[in-house]
Amino acid sequence: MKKQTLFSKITIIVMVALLAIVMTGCVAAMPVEPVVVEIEEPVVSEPTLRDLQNGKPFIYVGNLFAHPTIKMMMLGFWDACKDYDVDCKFIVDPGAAESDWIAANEKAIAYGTSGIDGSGYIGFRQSTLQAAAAGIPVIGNHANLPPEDTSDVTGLIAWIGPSAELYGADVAVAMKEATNCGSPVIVTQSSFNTTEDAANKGFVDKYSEICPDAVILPVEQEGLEPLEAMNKVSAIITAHPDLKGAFGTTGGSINAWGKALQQAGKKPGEVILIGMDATGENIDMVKAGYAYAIVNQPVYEENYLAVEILIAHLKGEPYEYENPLSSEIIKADGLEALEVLAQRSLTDLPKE
Amino acid sequence: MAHRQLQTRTGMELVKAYLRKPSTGVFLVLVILTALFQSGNPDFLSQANIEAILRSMSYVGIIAIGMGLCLMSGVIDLSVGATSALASVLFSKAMVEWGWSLPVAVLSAMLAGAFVGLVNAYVIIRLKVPPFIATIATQFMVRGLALAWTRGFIVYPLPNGIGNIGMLKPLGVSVGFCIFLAVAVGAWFLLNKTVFGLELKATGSDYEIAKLTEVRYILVHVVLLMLVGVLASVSGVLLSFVLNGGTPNVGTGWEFAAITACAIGGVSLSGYEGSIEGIIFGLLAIYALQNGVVVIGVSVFMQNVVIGIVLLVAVVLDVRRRKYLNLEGL
Repeated sequence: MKKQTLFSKITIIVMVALLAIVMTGCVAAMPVEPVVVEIEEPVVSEPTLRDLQNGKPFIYVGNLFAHPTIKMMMLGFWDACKDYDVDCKFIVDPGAAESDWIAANEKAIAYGTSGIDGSGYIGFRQSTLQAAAAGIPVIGNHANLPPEDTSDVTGLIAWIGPSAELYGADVAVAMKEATNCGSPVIVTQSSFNTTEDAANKGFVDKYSEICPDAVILPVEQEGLEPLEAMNKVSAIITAHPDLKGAFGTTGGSINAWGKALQQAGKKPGEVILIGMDATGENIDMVKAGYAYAIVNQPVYEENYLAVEILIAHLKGEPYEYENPLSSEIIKADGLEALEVLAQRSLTDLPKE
Repeated sequence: MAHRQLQTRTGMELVKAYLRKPSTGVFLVLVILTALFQSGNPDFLSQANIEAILRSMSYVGIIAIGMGLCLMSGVIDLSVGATSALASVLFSKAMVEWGWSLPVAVLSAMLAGAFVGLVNAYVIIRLKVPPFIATIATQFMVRGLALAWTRGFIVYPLPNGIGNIGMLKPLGVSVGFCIFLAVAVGAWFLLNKTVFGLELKATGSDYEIAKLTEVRYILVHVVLLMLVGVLASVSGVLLSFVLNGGTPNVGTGWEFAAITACAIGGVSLSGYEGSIEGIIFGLLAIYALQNGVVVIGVSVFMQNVVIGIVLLVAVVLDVRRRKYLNLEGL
């Protein structure tokens, strides 16, 4: 009995073991549904613009740091940087010489940058080509380049600028309206550069066309130092006491002319003065009647667009090489919007 | 006959005595220029243009008077233009942003100029740095300070019509010219009627010998460097009145305009020789020249060429004059 019991136990164990083996085999042989394990795919997010910049900011490169028009340009650049959340920096030299601008550009190249908002002036071309050779995309601001100045020639990925010749012509039309084809009239420039030369040409060509009998005096150079400019303008007023109109092609012209006219005892409106840029001093001179109108170059828009193009370049998106912008001639009744921008250029730029 | 010979000799002596004056050469140049420009345009000597020339020269003129005294004492200050900028900015900030009264704002600007002069004096006298290098260094520092302080912005506008002061014409000429005249008279008195004037010339004549005498050579240089700093500040403030604000790019190149006026006015860049009237003639010559080339219609592309040639001729004539009178080395 005992032996049977032991045998029975062994049999049961063997059978259970066999059953387990068979069942395991059957289960293994059974066709089964594939087991789907849901694995979360890694989130591949778009790289931010700052990622694309790789720690290298866009840099606004310039000179004439104290010039109010430059402040407006810097503001346009800075606003775009904030709006698109990109890393940006200013390298702006206080000097007025071309060498000062070139030194600033070289600093930017040495600093490391993912794009330069620089100048399109021909005097800076070698320095621009140097940046391009280093693989840095450069925008040429404030210059309206001729068709032969292609990207290969300039080293720029794009240029942005008002057509100075066009606004020069617009000033001629405004001058004709205000002076009834007054004569003589004169153009004064801060220096001889691409933009001011083109503005001068636009004015002279148009005024000659619409006022064929008018005398247009030879261009004079004001310089950039305020006293120097006033002295030069005073001499012009002496030489031409019958002067009817003046077009100053630089941001300091209105102040220099306005002060010189006041000191010469001229009444507001006696000489029709049109100049550039909506700075606080210029706006006040229009309000006082010594200046007739301001040519509002789109300097803010130029540099805002420069950042947008640099971003497009960074992302590999298309953009235009040629970006001509139009300017407006603003008289006393249209100053309000300009005042806001002029004020912002005093308050909204970074402290450093 | 003997009487006639005596008269001739006396006449020659008079001419020689006149030629010995450092201002003679530039005065003759000024007369010639005036005649040329007047023949080119009769408006050159109009009241309005004379006013314009006098007004133009007054800002640099105030500095040139101080610079002339420095040069006569054997020291030079190239930081004056930058000091004008700093004073312009400081004065305007004091008026516009801090609400200081006009006298306090003007005084603070003048003190800033004096301080820059004191720093120059310390670096030149105590640290033995040549004046040319020392004041170029302070020029960079001071203009940089003005720029950093304003972040390049114009400080504008001055309150309550204070800017109108720049347009006033007491005695028929600008405020700036009135102050220039006062400074010139004061400097003439200092140079010609005081012991300090004698010490100034002695220091400029030979610094090493001055050290061996009782001449207060250190005091002379400290006072003059502080004085030219104060005068640069006065110019900066005066231009702020006209501009109705302060800007850090005021005064760019003023130091060279002042030195040029002194040089062609007969002030020796190596010290001792010079006069206040010579500096005034030098200023008149430069500003009449800059004005005249425009008034008679010289092409803008040739104006600097003409100005350069005339200045060179003026200096060569002065060199010839010195050689003729055996004045080299003075």
